[in-house]
Amino acid sequence: MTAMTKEKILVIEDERALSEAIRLFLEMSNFEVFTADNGNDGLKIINGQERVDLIVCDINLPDITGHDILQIVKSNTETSAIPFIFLSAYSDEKDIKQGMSGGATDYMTKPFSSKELVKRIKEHLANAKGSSE
Amino acid sequence: MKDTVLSFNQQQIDKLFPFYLILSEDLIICGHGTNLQKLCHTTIGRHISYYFTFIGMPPHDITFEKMVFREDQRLELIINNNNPIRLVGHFEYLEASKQLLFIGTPSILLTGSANEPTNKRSAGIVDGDDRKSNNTLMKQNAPGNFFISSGNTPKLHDENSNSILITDTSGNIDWINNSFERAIGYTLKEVIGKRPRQVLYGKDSIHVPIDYVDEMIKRRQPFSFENVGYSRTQQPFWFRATVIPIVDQHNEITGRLSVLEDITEVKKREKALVNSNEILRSALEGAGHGVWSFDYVKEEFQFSKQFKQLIGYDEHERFDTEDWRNAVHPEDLDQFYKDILPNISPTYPKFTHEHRLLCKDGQYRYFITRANITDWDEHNMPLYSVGTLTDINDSKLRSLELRSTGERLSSLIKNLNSGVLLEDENRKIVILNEQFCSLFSIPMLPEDMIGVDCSESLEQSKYLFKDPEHFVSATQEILNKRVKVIDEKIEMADGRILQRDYIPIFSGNEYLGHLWKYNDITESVGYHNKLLAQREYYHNILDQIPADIVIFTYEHKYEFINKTAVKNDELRNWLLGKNDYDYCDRKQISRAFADERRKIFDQAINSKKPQKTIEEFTAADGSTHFVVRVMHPYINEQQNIGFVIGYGLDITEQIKNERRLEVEEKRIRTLLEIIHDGVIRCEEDGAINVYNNSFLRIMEISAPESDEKLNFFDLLPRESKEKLRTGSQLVKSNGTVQTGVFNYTGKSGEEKHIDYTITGVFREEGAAFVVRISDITDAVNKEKNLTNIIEKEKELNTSKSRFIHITSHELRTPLAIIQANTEILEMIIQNGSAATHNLKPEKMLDRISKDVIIMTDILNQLMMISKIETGNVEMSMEKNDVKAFVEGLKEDLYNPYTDGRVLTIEQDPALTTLHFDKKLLRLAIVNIVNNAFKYSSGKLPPVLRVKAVGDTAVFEVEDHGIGIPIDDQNKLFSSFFRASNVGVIQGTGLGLNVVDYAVKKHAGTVTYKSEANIGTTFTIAIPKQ
Repeated sequence: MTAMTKEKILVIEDERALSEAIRLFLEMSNFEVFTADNGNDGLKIINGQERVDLIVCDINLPDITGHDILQIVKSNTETSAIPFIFLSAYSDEKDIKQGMSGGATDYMTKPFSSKELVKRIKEHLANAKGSSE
Repeated sequence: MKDTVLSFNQQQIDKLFPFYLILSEDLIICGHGTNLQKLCHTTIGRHISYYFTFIGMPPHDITFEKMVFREDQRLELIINNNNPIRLVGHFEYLEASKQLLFIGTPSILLTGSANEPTNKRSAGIVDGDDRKSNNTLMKQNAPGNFFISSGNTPKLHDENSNSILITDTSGNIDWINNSFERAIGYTLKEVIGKRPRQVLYGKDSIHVPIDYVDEMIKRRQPFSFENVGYSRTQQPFWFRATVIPIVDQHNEITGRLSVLEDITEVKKREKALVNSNEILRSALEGAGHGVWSFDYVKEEFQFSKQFKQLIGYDEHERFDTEDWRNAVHPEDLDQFYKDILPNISPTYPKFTHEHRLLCKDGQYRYFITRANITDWDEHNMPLYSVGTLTDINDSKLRSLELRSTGERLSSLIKNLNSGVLLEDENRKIVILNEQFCSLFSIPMLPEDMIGVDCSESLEQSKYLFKDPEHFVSATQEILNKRVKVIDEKIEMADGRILQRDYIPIFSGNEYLGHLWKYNDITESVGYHNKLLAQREYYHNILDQIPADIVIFTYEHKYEFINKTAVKNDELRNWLLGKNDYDYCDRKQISRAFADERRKIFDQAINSKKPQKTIEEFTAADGSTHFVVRVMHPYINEQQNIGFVIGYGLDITEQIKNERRLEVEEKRIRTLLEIIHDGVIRCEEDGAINVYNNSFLRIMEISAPESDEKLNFFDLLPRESKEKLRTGSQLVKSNGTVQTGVFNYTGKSGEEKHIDYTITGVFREEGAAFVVRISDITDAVNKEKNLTNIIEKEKELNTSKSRFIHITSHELRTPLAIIQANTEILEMIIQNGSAATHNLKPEKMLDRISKDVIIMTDILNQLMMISKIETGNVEMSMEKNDVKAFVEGLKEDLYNPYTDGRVLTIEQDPALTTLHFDKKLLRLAIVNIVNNAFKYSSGKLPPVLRVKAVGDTAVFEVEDHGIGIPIDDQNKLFSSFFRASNVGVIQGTGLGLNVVDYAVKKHAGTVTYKSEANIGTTFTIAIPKQ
């Protein structure tokens, strides 16, 4: 990766206001952000031309759940290594566990600190890079 | 004397019976009396027939056996040496020695003997009477009177015996018999050794020429003479003495036997007798006798008037020879011809004859005739006789009677089980039997005891008795009193107990003797005592039994009363032998009591079965007692009533208990009727025998008819029937109690729930069940309701939690947005890179405000829900500008909505103002619009139409979405119609309850229609006023 190439983050979130806010912050943090407001659109992007480096996904989506998306991503060898961060209002331990058990890299509950989010994204990207090299 | 069985009392016997013989079984003489020996020259060892000929017995009858068993023991023996003396007596069989004892008296037969006395006049008279009326009972001349005397007074002319005198060679008296004793009044003791003339002769006595006497004796010839004699009391009498020399075998004179006969009367008569019929007759007639004369030639009788009178005929009535022949008893006539007539001769012209004559009254009477044949022809045939007739009927009958009585008595006495002793007036033994001897262990035979003096023996035998002196004195007292004593108890020294009777015997006033009768009653006394003891024992037992027991005779007299029945000893003893009526009289109480008792007594007697009745009486202390009175007849072997046992049992306690039980039962019955539960008792098969009204009510059935029987199991529906049957079986087998509930639909058709309890009652007759039921339908329903409520509560709580969950969930998103935007702003401020990114911080701030509003709304909803729950909603109905309200709403939340779409508003200008509660309505509309957006994601934004339709303001929200999911629709419906409760529909956060509430509060309605993939339209209609 060159310094010029920004890492691509996919944000799947149906609440437009929130996904916009996240996009803004991430862009301000020097990421390239793609958004989808439903699961299928999100999958399209994942499987599309653009290679996504990290996925941030809401669990509660209008069409399919975040869990399903995680499953699909993980089942595809091309995409299985992409770090996957859940973003959800479900804050129960149970939910977190469930989320992580599917193979998610991280889980953050709303409301969250964007700063924290960026911190974790950078972390997981570094890890992913490290492992692939 | 040769030794015989009687040797030890030989002397005694000899003294008593000098003319006795003892014969062995071969009729050999083995014993003889002194005088007999002298008279007959008998020697021991010779056969009797050597010396004697039996008169009246054919030779072949002369055997020991025949003589033993001869009924008529009288016998006459002729001495074979032509001795005119005969021995008359009778034979006794001595069982002990198997010998015959002959006791005899000498008697004279002077006719036809070789030594005929020359003196006709002194010819003795045959003692025919002696022969005939010989005492067959007793030994003749036995010492002591025969107690039944023939009534003869002791006179020399005693018809029954001669007086006999024996003198020795010197002419001194050796022996006299009883008759002589009686006649002269001296005892043998007094005269023995004296000369007869010393004893007999007196003033007018003739002295018989001694020469004549000597001469006759020398010639060994009997002779007789008549003389006057004097008794002890100087009574003169004529007698004829016949003297017979007694010679021994050597023809030596050993003594003289004299037979004396009183001829006083005869003499008198002779004096008066003139050889003339008429004189004789009238003389005799004058003497008052019945007289007759008989002419042998003419064969004619002549009778005096007294004669006729004697036989019942009048002086002038005809009674002639023919009549006489018919009147005389044929037997007696035969006897005359047989026995008397042949013996009459000129030498012996006199005779007496006892005979019966048929009297005028048709009855035979006994007479005696004394006759003399006064004239004879040259052939010594009688020509004429004359005689007297004397009525001897009474004495004859008596003597006959006496004889037969005596015979009877003798055999009776012999055969009595009692010991019998008959004593004469001088206490000499007349007769006793073996039993007497064995009772007193007298080693002698009864026969040998005769004549013994008992007064001596009394003294000697007194030590046989337990109290000797008492025995003697008591006996003496009895003898002195001469009054019958019966059942006297005598205790012997050896422990035996005898019962003694004393019977004095009188003939008129004359004491003849007495009878002692002894019975050994030791055993019976023993038994008697045992019986008494036993009786007492049982009586004691009866006394101990705490019930009153009495024994009645068949006639209802008290025979035994135990102490419980009558405590007072005196009263109890008095009652014995009396009956209840006597009791009533004595106690002076009403006889009704006795009547009652008698009634059941009679019932018992008649039915021969126990009868009982219950008596009620008041005790002394006032308490009431009940007694079961039973009369129990005892039936003996002959199936008769022996006695009746009456007893009473106090059943007061029992009755009290019964009464108590009755009361209890009543109480229980009442209780059963009062209680609300149904109670029954039924058999194993379900047949109900006890029920209460509550049972009927619960089961909705009516009381059965009197003959009907309900069956519990049959009343039940099938499943319940099985259930209860099984339950009841368990009760029976385990003894446990079964409870449960069964369903039941009665007549009313309502399904009931019946709670039951089954308990078992185990009796001998089998198991029965008690079933208690109660109707718990209401309770069950309430429970159901409660369950429903609880379910609802649960659901509510779950829903609430869910709602909160969802709400908090929903809050997170706005918060996250606020957070993100805040951080962006932060970054902008930090980096100052707003321009770089073409960021407008105002946008961020604006976003934040909006999300705060969103959050506020959410919170407001929550609050509203809470308020609705607690009923704390305060409405402020105001007139508001509809347009402004709606526009403001849009601006706050839907321009744009979080997904970017903008709500389209179609406002009816006609609807300008409206009365409503801003907050509430806002909540309602916001909810619906939110849902519209949620369910139409990606589609055209929803439309809010506000219009007036008549009197109502209508707020319509239409979306083009997917429609409400069916699940939610259902939930929608249910929450809708449940009305009162909060409940957020899962997943959608519709919060329609709020909508419903808000709209209702405005008196409005909420409706919706939804079509899959077309859209949903919610319509709120509120009345303008």
